[in-house]
Amino acid sequence: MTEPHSDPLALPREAWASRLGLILAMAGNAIGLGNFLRFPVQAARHGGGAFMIPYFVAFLLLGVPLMWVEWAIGRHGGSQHGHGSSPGMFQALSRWPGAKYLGVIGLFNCFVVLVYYTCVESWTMAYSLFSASGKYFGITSRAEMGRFLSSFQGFTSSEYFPGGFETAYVFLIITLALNIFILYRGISGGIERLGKIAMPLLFLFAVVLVGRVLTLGAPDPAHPDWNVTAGLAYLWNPDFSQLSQSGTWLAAAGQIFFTLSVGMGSIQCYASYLKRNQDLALAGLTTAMTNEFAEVLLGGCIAIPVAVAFFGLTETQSIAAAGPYDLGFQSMPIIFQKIPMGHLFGGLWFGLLFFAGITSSVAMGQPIMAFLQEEFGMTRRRATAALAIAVVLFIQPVIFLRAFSGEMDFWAGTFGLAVFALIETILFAWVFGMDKAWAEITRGADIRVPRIFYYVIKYVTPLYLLFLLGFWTVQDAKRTLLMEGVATADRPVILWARAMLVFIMAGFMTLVAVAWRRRKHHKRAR
Amino acid sequence: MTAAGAVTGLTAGGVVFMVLAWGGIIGVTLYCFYKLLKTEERKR
Repeated sequence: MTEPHSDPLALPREAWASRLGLILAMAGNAIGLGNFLRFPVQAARHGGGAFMIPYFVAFLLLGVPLMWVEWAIGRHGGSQHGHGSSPGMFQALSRWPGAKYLGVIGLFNCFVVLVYYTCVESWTMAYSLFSASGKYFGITSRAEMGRFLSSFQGFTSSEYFPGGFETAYVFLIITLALNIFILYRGISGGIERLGKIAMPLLFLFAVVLVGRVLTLGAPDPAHPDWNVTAGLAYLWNPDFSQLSQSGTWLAAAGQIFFTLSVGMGSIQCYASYLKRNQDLALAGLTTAMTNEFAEVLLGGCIAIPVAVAFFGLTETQSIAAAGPYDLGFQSMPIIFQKIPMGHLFGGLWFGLLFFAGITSSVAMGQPIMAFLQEEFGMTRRRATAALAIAVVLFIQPVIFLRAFSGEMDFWAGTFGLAVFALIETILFAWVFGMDKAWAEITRGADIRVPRIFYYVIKYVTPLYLLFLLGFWTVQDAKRTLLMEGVATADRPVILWARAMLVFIMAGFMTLVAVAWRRRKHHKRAR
Repeated sequence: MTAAGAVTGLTAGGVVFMVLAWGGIIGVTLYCFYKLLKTEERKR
């Protein structure tokens, strides 16, 4: 499906075939691995039930406003100016010629996160098959599961994967090929269709897993206090003393930020395929709520409760402290071996993570596709080929050097998100102007957007973001930049990773400069 | 929840937070989808 627009230089654009398809695709973009792995760990670490207070405050003051801002920037840039990527969208908001270069951060974030996210996504696909085939069955300790994972990734050698990284490489190629195929099929034929298949399956798998977890009771008769209720208690019993800690409020804001996929550049791209007067207020809120349903209700009922039921509270606390990957890839596989039909439930768990991953990764690829197609006039086939080649090139060091992905995750997947969100909010509310911004958000709305959000978007959200960014700069960016606590052997790798990130950013800057020069030339020629 | 690891069961506070969060999310999500359906019907 295509839709005409007012920019005479722009090509006819695709459009969503149905509203449900749009919402499922947007929800798929938001629902990622973090909903099932990161959220329960954060909640358990930061005050249990009390964590939900700063979490919902951040949802209302940061998450929902940013969601509307990004949908509105996307619809404005796409339906009125023919841009599906952030450089063009930002330029459409401002007369200042430098605005398009600020939009490069959106391309950078999407591309860099796509590169390492595809790796993690391929692990979930592999583990889904390992669960079904029972490849890791027989490994009963977390340390040994860690060795299994490390040898699968090719970082260490073991009897499990004598060929080294070959197995991981094959799964990576399959995952990448799937992503590229979906992107090649386009908005309604690829991404929308994926959402309509993957999202119902994701929810079905999650509901089956939640049902299994909640009926487990106390699986080990020797430890009757190791049970699901204790797991839910660990997650929900409030520890109000945590509310006086700034770290709790920051963790909650960070979780809202990551879970909704704001600050990436992908929501704007999907929203750019809306029609000029199509509702975004209700659709945006529905997407955010669907994500919360998956995170709080489903994500909160699987990994942590089941870990407490099988490992007890003390070990679950150490698992939570070790981070989400330990929980997902080292602890859960041990649990699946202890429950009847563990092959099936393991397959469902990793299948669920795979669907959560692929619906997010295609969303990160689409802005790059839109940029190449719309700003360089490439066909979809050529844009897909260019993206595939770029990802294959830049993914190589991520496969072979462990420290690479951590560095990429911090600069593009954490810090870059906050920087981009702050810039877009200021550009939209202050440069474009809040009155025009409000008109953009409310035009065609199927719900009444409370007027208070006019002021929240103008004042509260940018201040909240500024505070978050300032704290991350002081607490993490300085430490990360100076490589504090990094092993000497890893330092050259990190410097290489940074050089690659600078190269990617410079590359996108150059492409934007070339695209606009080309645009100017075409305008003159007409 | 607590670092002390002394949790064995859901407290009243835990139940209240869980019910409020779950109920709130289910309620608003259902409302959103209801509104979507109604507006789609109206537009048709």
